[in-house]
Amino acid sequence: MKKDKNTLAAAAELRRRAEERLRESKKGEAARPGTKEETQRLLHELQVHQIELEMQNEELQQSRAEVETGLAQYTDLYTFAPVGYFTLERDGAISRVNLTGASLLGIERSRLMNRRFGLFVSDDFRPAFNAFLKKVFENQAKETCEAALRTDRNEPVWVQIEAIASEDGQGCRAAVMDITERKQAEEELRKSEERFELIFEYAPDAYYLNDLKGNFIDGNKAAEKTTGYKREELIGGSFLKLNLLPLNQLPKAVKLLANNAMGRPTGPDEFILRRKSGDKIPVEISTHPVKFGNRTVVLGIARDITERKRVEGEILRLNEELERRVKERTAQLETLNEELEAFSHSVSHDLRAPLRSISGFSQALLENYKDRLDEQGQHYLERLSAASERMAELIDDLLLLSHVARVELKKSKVDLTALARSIMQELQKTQPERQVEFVLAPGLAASGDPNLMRTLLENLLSNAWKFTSKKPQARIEFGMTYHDDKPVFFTQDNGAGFDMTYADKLFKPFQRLHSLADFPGTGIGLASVRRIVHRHGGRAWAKGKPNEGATFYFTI
Amino acid sequence: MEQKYILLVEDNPDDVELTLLAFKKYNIKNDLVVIQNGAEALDYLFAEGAYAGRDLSNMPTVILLDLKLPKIGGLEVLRRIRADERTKFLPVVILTSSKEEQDLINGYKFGANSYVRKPIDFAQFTEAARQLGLYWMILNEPPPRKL
Repeated sequence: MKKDKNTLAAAAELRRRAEERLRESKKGEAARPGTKEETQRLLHELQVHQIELEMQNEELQQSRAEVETGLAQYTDLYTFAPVGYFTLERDGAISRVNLTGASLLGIERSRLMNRRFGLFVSDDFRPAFNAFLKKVFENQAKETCEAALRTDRNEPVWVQIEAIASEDGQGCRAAVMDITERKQAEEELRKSEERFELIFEYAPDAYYLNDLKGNFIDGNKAAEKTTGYKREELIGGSFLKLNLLPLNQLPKAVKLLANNAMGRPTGPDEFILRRKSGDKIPVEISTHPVKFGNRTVVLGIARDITERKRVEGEILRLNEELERRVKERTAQLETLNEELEAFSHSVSHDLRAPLRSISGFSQALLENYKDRLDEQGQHYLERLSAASERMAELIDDLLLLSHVARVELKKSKVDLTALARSIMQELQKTQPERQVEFVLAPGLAASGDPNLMRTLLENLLSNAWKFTSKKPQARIEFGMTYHDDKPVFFTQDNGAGFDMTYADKLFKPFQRLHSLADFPGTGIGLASVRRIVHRHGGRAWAKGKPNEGATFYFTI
Repeated sequence: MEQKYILLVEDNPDDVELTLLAFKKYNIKNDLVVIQNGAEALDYLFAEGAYAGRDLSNMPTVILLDLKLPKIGGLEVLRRIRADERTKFLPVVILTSSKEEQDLINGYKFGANSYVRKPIDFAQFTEAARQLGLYWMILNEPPPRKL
């Protein structure tokens, strides 16, 4: 609409100017159309001309619109292009710049005019940039350079500048591209390469590269140290050429190379390495074929394992030493055990013989010489007999204790209820006249050595039997209870009991809490009980009160 | 005439005397030959050494053998008795103070006919001697001389 109005206004103006021009031209002319035909012809001419003019005008208007559109497009393209465009004077002053260019420099477009581009290049690159600019004007060809720009930001902005001088040589056009990201990536890569270089160089193990024929391409410091050769000596050499391997190592090395040639990694394998000095050291070599483009090289890692070998040797030696000591100790123990065995055998056999003589000859005296001995003499002989009897008992119990400690455990499930019943029946047979109430829990069983289990219960129950002998209403119980959710067996009696002050003495050999005259015994029974229980991994303890009875607990 | 007799192999003179006392009490005193060590016992049985020329057909009715003997032990004596054709059926009673299980096992393994532990009590001792004498000298039918 607006355009139409403009067009109408422009047409009106054109008409006004045309009529004015017509009036001025008429002043000098007197010629008027003479005839009617002439007038008619002129009118026609004029009408045609007017249409022609109108058509011309339309064309002009259209091409003007086209030019305006084009200009707008190009302005847009220039202004908003993703690349910075600069037009620089010969001295480097900025005469034109687009938005991207201004934002690259970090300054508004209007404030950039006539300022030198060089001012925005960081100090380090200024001389190079000046040289670049000079070259652009001299060569009249496209030139390229990279530079860092000064900005307010911490990170530098890296740009690539492409410039070409204008034809008149009075200025140049420059395209400036932000390559910061590419530069950073390059920097990262460079740093990472440096790091890898460092890692390679200072790795504690010898790192080396070789081609598939085994020729060294590179080696690190540790490789120099391990082999004794300088890097320059190593490069081009090989394990073989440098005589690094003793003869017997060669088959292994050939195998390694063959594997590498087929692209297979090897190792770690142990090798003996001959150093430049001739010393031999053990190393562990691993190899990894690596492809570089279309070339395969092998990364080798040789670890000096001298120290490890030494430690292994030491461990081996210590183990042998330990084994030797264990053997020695075992032999000592075996000897001790044999001695103990011999000792018990001797106790059993040799100590009994003199006792038999004492008892036997006292008895013989009593029987055959009674008429020549008075009552006192006979009493002494009886005491002699009784003493030897008692010593025989002591010897037997001592042997039992040692047997209990030494005998090999053969475990099976033992019916404790049946065992206790049979023991009580045997006890009853020894003194049929006694009235004893026996309370027995049914179904008690444990995993243990049947013979030792019998000895255990025999000791506990005969104790109960013995210590209730003075009670008219004797009661003996064998049962099971729980302590901390674990089954605990017990024998309980209402006999003589004991004072808890001495509870810890009960289970020690030869410790007795009652006089022989009151209750005979050797003081070995409970010691045997505790040993049997301990050998089964259990625990034994007792509770009691004088004259009120005792309870013996054990776990198996 | 062949006489029944007991061969007592025992080195402890007290035990020898006590055994004699016990046998005397039951009137078997005349039928006892006492030898004090294992080597001599073997010489006696096989008529060798000091006993060369002894009539080999006159074997004891029973041998009471102590285990702990000087020179050659009781078990070895037993082994050799059992290994020899002439003596392998002789009744041998091991008479010892040992109650060690291993002694018992070995005694029977080597072919003892009986194993008696010497009691300390003299009354029991004489009773054991009496029963031994009664059983082996009177009740037991000895093996035939010639097999």
